[in-house]
Amino acid sequence: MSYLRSFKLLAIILIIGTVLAALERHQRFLFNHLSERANSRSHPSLKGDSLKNLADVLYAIYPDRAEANLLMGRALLDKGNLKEARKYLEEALELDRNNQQLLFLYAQLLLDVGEDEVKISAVVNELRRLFPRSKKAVEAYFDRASKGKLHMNDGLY
Amino acid sequence: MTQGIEMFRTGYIVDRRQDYVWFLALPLVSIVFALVSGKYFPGAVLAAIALWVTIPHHFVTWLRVYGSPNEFARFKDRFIWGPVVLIGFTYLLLHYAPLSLVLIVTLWDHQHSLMQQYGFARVYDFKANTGAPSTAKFDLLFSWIFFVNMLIVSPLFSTLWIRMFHEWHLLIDVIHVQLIQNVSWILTGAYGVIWLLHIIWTLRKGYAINPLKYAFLGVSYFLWYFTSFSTEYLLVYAVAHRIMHGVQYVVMVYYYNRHKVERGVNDSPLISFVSRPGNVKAFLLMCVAYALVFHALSEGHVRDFGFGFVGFNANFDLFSYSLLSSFALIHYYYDAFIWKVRKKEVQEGL
Repeated sequence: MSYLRSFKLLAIILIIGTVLAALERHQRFLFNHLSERANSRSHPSLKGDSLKNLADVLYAIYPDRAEANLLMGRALLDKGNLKEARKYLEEALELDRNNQQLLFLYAQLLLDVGEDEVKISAVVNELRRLFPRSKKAVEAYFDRASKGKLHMNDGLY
Repeated sequence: MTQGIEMFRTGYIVDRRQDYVWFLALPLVSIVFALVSGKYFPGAVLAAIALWVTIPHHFVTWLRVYGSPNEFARFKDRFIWGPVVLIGFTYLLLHYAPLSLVLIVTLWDHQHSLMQQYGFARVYDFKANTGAPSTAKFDLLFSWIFFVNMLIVSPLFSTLWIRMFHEWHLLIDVIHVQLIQNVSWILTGAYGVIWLLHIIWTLRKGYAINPLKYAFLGVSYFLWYFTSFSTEYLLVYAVAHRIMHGVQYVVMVYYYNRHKVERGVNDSPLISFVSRPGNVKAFLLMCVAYALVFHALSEGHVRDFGFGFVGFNANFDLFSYSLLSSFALIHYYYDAFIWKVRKKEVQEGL
């Protein structure tokens, strides 16, 4: 009995994990509010109305936080409202330029609205410089999306 | 180690100089370093700083529990089955319920962080023989309430927990968020008063207190509150917190092992070797080597050494990635039972 008792903490973790996993899968299938993950190292994220709900709550409480502006921009992008989304993404960039997702979305948005290539290249290069781990993937994506029109330069930080 | 004064009695975790450097000054230096790094360095640099501290601090746990036959024998079954179960469970969660894994790792990490500072506070009272019998309980409640309040009310963390609620489709609205935050502030303020009154009661009852313990708790909570309120950027908090948490842990374990060697209660040639005063560099090099090996494992680079037999399917990437979480969980799990200050075996190294 004392042998089994020594694994009490481990058993508690397993039980909690199993209950949470069951709840997560239940919620996910019931509400379909999460997107599929893009690769093994990413996590599911909110989409559609669920994303907009979260953005509304966070923006109401923290209108001057980058995260709230980014989520609002993402939610509006999801709904195809590019003009409004741009306003929030630019506000988020004013507050924090160290966010990979933010820079990526902004560069993508600039490309979608047909912004000047020099301006888009500057954002893409900033993204490549700040996040060297995903540099190649970013280059490949924007090279393909812009049909090779963007100018990628190199430099340390 | 201690100086007798009627109301205040000072005791150190290591010694006067080391304590001032690692347990009092380091949190303040970490804040400045993290803020400057966040302003001038890209995210990749900040993530690297956090990793170079976090991974080696796991290594010193493995060194302690697997390097010493006596330590290993104390909890042998847990040291064998713990990793097997947690690695397997983490992989399954990452595969089938990733948000559950994020939630468990996040909550256990927070609990682990606050309990480390609480544990060091206990060591301060143990070394100085200070505090009333009830002090441990009051300090524990202080640690939980003040840390959880920081998570609930700070803009950095409330953004995260509100998002987590929505990811679990528990749709919390603005009014309820503000209600929770207000209640949290009220409870924290009320408990802060109770905690201070308990300190006064302790002194009136004739028990001495260790001022260093309170200074240590003060700078630790200052780091957490200041960074979580002043930065937009989770990595800035992570760098400051990881430096404080990781470096203090490494210092603690290093001196714990060294004290055991000096007192003749160590049974491990490896620990004797790395704990010799002239071998600090060897100890640090082992930490670095471990960090490199772990990085190769968690990034899936082991595949390149596997002659095509290792990592041949897509699940290998997921498994490699899951090691980041599973090793963290194993570290939290071990720390939950290997550091009980009241245990004689632990006191031998303090």
